[in-house]
Amino acid sequence: MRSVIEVRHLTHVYMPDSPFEARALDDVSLTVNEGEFVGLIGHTGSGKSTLVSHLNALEKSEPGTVFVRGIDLGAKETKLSDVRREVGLVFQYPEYQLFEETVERDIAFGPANLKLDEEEIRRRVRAAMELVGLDESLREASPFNLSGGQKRRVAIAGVLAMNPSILILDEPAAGLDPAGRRGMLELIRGIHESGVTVVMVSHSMDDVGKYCDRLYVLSHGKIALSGAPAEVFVHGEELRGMGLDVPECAKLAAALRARGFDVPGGAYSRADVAAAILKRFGKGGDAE
Amino acid sequence: MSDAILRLRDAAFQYDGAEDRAVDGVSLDVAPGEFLAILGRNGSGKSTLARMLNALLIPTSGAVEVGGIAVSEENAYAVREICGMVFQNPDNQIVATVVEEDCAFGLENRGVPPEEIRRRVDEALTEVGMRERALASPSMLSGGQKQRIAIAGVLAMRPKVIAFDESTAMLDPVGRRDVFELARRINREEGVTVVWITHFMEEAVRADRVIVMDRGRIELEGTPREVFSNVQEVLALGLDVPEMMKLARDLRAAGLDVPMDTLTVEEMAEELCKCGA
Repeated sequence: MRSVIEVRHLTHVYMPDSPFEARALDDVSLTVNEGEFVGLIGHTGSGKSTLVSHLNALEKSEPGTVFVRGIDLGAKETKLSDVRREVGLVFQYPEYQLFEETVERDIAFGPANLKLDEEEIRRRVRAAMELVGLDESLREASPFNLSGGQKRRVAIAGVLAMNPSILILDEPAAGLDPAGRRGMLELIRGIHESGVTVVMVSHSMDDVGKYCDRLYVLSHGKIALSGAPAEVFVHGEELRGMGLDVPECAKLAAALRARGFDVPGGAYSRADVAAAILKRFGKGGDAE
Repeated sequence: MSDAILRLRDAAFQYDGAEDRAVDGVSLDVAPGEFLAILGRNGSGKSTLARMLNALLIPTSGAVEVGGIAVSEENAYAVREICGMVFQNPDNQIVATVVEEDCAFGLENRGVPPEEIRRRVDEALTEVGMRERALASPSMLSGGQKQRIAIAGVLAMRPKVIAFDESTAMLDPVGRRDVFELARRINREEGVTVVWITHFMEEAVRADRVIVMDRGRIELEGTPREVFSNVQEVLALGLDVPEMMKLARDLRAAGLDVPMDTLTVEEMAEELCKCGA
């Protein structure tokens, strides 16, 4: 597998040599491979947002190095605009960043800055709107008259219109209602399936368990755990100690193991846990 | 219920220029000391309903009574004495640059004597566990801590009811748990009636009673167990049901006899042991 993001021994200190000095990142190394869906988890202040800013060259990396598709973001000769064309970053509550009069113009803002021709811009806006599930008819609407979930889709479409090969989203489902949350995560799954490498920052273990291939857990600026969801969720006690949670079914699996049930250590999805329970009771059938 | 602290009778609210009523004929009694959770998808009318309890919005028809006082323009201040409100975004509720000054803001506006303000602010900050941060700058606090400051500001006014409008939506899991547990404690120990609007089912299952709103009306009402037993209906209303109930449904479908209304991990583990482990 080819890596598209390589972070090596990255440390970041805010306000060094002041009373407010804070070590946000402490010797962090991680890899994201082509086509992966990686989850980044951690409590508030764990360093997630600082790390994400580094991946888009919004923060400078020192000491440490960050490579995006082999480009060293710290090197003098690196053109940051090249990096930002590869890496699309969707901030938390991105709908607060909408500013244009129409949905179409808001989405077109980035591509227009790339000096693309009109036809190409229109094509990209259409494609981005389709990818995020916004109806054509909304092109001329004011983004400010849309619902919260739709506004967020417009903001994401604006990032997608830059055709990034890597998409990083900081808490994309925060503040949405359960149906909106499911819709947003399915949308991101669709973007991932279209060939984009995705890094998603989230507080929700249920969400990262369901959607991500691999997880990194940040705590106090360090990578505390990493691996496939099943490998991470067996560390229930440690995760709780870091102010995080595990999916409900992983908790049940642990509670049942404690009572002597034979439930495999990595089980965390409802289907897996149900299958293990049914096997225990000799019901062998499918859960879903 | 004659001693209801909140009494709504066919209450409705229509925003200027809107075609439909945001709250469309809600009748509801809330008993003193109750912890009521309100669920519903975005745009279902939850926030509009909460804003009427605090006289931020005046019902366009029907009646809302808070502590026996009819919600109206004239009674707005009297209503707010009884019902305080905590909103979603911690950054939008902080007005001062020092924690204790922020907490004192409402009392000062009401002309409470300085020594009384001092006493009430200290008490409120102690209650929310932020006494030692009294002189901190709110900008140095986490989202959960800011919400606790906002709650202290409301508590200092000694309301009988507090309406929380998605006050945990923007917090991380730790902040969310802290703020929710604080609201539960205020409810259990101080007897403050709580109206808790949320999208998080794991919070709603711990309320005394749950109502689910859709299109401005109450669609489901009852104990958490009663409401969430309607799995299909709850999902159709744009909500979620607790994971253990979904698991119970799956297990039952496969022929394992666990109760349909199993809500929590502990209950499920117990039930499975009873099944003959």
